[in-house]
Amino acid sequence: MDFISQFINWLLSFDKEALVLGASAIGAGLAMIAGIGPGVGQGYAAGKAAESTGAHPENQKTSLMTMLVGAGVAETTGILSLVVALILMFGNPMISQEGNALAIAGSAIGVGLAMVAGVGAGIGCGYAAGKAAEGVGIAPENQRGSMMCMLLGSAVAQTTGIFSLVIALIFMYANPIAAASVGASNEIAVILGLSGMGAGMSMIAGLGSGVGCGYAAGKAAEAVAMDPNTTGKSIMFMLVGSAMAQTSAIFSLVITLILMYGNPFIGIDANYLILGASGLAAGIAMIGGLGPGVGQGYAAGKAIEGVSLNIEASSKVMVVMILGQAISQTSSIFSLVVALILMYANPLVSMDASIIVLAASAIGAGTAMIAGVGPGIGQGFAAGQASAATGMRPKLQGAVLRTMVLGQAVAQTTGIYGLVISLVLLFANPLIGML
Amino acid sequence: MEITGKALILACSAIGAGTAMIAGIGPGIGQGFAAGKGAEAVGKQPEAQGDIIKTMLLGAAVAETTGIYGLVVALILLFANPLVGML
Repeated sequence: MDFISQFINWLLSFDKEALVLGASAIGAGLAMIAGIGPGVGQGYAAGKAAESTGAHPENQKTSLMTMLVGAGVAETTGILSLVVALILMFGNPMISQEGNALAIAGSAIGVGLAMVAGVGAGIGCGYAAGKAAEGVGIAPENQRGSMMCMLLGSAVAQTTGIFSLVIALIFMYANPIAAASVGASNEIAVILGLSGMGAGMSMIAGLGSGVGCGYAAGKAAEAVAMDPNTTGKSIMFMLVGSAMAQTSAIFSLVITLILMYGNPFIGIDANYLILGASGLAAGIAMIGGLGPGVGQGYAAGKAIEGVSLNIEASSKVMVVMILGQAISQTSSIFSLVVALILMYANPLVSMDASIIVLAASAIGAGTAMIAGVGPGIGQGFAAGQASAATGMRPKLQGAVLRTMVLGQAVAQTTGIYGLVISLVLLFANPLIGML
Repeated sequence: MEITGKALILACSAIGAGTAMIAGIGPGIGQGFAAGKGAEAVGKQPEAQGDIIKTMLLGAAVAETTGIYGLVVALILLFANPLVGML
């Protein structure tokens, strides 16, 4: 008997409670990773406030107050994760869930994985706090407007952290994966448990939107502090740009909800390990969406900078920003396509070959899509610089756009390499012939 | 090798405690940035050193919190593990 079946049987030799509590311990630890975000973000804010105090000691109080309010918002996802970890440890609702231990244990790990997305909002909101503190240090009379932009943008940046919290709460208090495993075989429970972990993995992509939207919020807070007349345009660019930056997080949320409520692997006549691995792989693939979230938010922030310097150029800047953001969306669309192939048109399930090779190929196909993080961030950076350049010299919009698109096309290459490897593993797998 | 349910939970708790400490990455980076900016500012405006250090330390203390949360969760898993009692 192979070691995976042996491992699953070994897990099943434990009491259900032991398995679920063990997984909850790992889940609680995973959730705390979110603490990276507020740590980075608040540290940035502290640095900016210290710098501002040096440059404008007379405005120290205003700058410090702004920094502390922003840092408080940046703390949110860290506290949410702490609460989730404490629930898992002291009021664990998962041991009393009806269903198969393997499915519930997978969900408990999914809880922790989903909460990792909070890293993004922590960094993003901290950046916004730092930029606002810097801005009001120079112009304390514009504190109100600048703080308003910071708070509004930070609220948008918190979205993905809240999405993750909702997913974690569903897993803990109304677990559809546990419900689906009631009375099911252990094989089905393995598929459900791995899909639960995949659902949590997929949510990690929200990290990108948190960082990106926070960057946009920081740039808006800075622009408004420098010139309150730009408030309207800054907020408009911030909200439009942030909405674009949320796209990949929404893709991830959709895949997560499908894995939780409409698992496509149940009822397929194929080996359960291949199906379970595909569920996990679909979630891993979606992590690629992290890149576009960061990049598109950067583009929005730089567009705000461009418009605030030259408000007449706003429509030209808007075109460049949206076009650049659309191109940097590519990677998360690739990820979505691979996840959907794994879920609904999976060629591995009907292949007749060694199960371990097929299951591992599914995991490899998902993992390859993480490469999309790079092009997503890079293309967003290009879109941002192009937006700022258009704001400074709107007459050169055409030339700037051409250069941006050319550079973005080059930046896409590694993402395409990842996609090609993923598709080869799925549709033209050379490993199977080598057996 | 006989592994009891209690042993499994304790083993997983060890992994969880270790994982929770990954959070320490954040405060490390953030406070380092704050320290750098603080030093830079003191270099430019030595007369404001007191205020700069106060601002930096206050902000760095806020940035420490999530690292402490991670530590607390790890310490609970290690020294006051509530999960084994639920078995």
